[in-house]
Amino acid sequence: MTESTVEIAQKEFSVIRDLLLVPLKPDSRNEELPSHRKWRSGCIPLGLPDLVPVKPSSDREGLESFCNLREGEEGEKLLVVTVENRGNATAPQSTTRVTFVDLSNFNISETSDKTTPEIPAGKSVELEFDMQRCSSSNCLFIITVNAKFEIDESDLTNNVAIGLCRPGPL
Amino acid sequence: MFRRFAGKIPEGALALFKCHPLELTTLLEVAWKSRAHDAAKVLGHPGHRSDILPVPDFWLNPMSRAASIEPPTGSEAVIRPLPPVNPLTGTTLENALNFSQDPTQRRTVLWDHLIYAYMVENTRIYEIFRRVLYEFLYGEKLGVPLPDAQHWLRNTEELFYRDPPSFFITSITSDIRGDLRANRRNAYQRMFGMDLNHGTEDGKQYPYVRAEAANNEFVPTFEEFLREVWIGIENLKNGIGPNPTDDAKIADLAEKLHDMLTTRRINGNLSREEFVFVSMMSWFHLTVEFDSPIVVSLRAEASSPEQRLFKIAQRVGLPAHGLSKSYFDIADPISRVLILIETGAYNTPAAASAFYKEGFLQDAMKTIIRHWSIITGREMKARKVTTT
Repeated sequence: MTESTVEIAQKEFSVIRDLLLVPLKPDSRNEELPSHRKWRSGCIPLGLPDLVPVKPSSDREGLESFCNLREGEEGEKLLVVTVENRGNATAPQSTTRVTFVDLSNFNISETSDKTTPEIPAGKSVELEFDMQRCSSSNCLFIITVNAKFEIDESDLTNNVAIGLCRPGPL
Repeated sequence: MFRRFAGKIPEGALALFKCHPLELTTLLEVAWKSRAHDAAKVLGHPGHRSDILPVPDFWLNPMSRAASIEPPTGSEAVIRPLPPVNPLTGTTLENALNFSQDPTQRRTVLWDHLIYAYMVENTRIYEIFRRVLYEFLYGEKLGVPLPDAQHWLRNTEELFYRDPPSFFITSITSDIRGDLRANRRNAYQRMFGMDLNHGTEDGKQYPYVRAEAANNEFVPTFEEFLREVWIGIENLKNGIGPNPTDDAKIADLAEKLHDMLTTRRINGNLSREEFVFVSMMSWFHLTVEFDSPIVVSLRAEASSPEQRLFKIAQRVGLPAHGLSKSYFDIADPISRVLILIETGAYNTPAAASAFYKEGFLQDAMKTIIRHWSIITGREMKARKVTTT
């Protein structure tokens, strides 16, 4: 369906509004500019996001602490990965990758990428990865956040975590 | 511009106030260089405001690189590799914005309309801060400014109360036009046919050159436009009975406004002045948007920009305009709407309903109608009465 002139006019106004966005609204709410509209300058230190794969709260320890499983709508086994932004700026959309390792030969059995939505500072999101290939044996996996280096982060050294799931009920 | 540079309040703004004046001037120069620019658009259009060159690359690039200055990356939806829908398609700014990965090629900057500077300056903010500088720089009548306020004082004096350095885009004073305050009034008179609501400190008219070619019809045309849009908003959900909304009239008035505003902008006229004046007023606006160091130094902490300004005005003995809240609140939306009107593409009966249909544009129109009525004392929600 083609857009009407009214819709295009409203869209153009939204673009103008976006380009002229200011951090403060008239109601004095302290609202940060979205990252894509920010100026960078040496004298105005830019806050940076810091994405980290985090351990879910559970009794598991060691590598198994990252094993957070959930049953999908069709009964499939899903690995839930929690990505937290520990930086002081909103993290734009990025990619989180889970690489499953075949423990019989230590080859990569599967790599799965998920688009990670924008995460405000201090917030986290959960992503679900299908892990059918790991359903019958011990499953080693590597979680990498910001896997395609799409965003600038204050710390890249905490982007990777290794986890292990053993066979058994969820 | 400075409110956008700050990005985050208060941290970003506090850092901005501490920058060196040369860095701030470079920021403005990079902003000018990164302006939306579509050579196919008529010169003066919001997507092609001016062809005047910034400081040449051989000078500007080393400075901006050394200061780590980069313009914004632009619209996130646009720079994604395969956006589901390009939000710019069909808009007049589609080809004017360049989201290049190379910061020196990026063109994503639009600045406010001159009306923003007019509205903010009407609060008398520039004159009040002139007094603040005078008192702090000549003595201790107002106390001693805090260490952070010293940076603000230095920057404000260097950027806005003296001749800017040559060759920069901000350099708009000369032997021909030596008084910045008079230059601003001249620009307001040409563009809107209006002078500021205050004169000199002793209550006399401020002397400035009045141009013969001025948009003296701006105010009555704009007010008629606001009235017609209000009728549209009022009758938007009117499903039965006669509907007095007149799309053709709204379009006609929008076109009239477009024609008079763009006539003043032919070949890029007034673009530099607009850029400098809106930047200047945004600095002062930002200063009172939070309890900034100079506000704290003046013991003028408050919960809103106008309340801070009132307190500062009281300290220096020069009253701010009583309707400053309305001037601050109207400044952003009216700037955006006039820029939209200047694009000209939507001043047709088919598009006129965009001004009153629900959305950001309607929100902006409501704010303008409310505050314009307060400022002028003329009710925009009432039908125009004609005497016979």
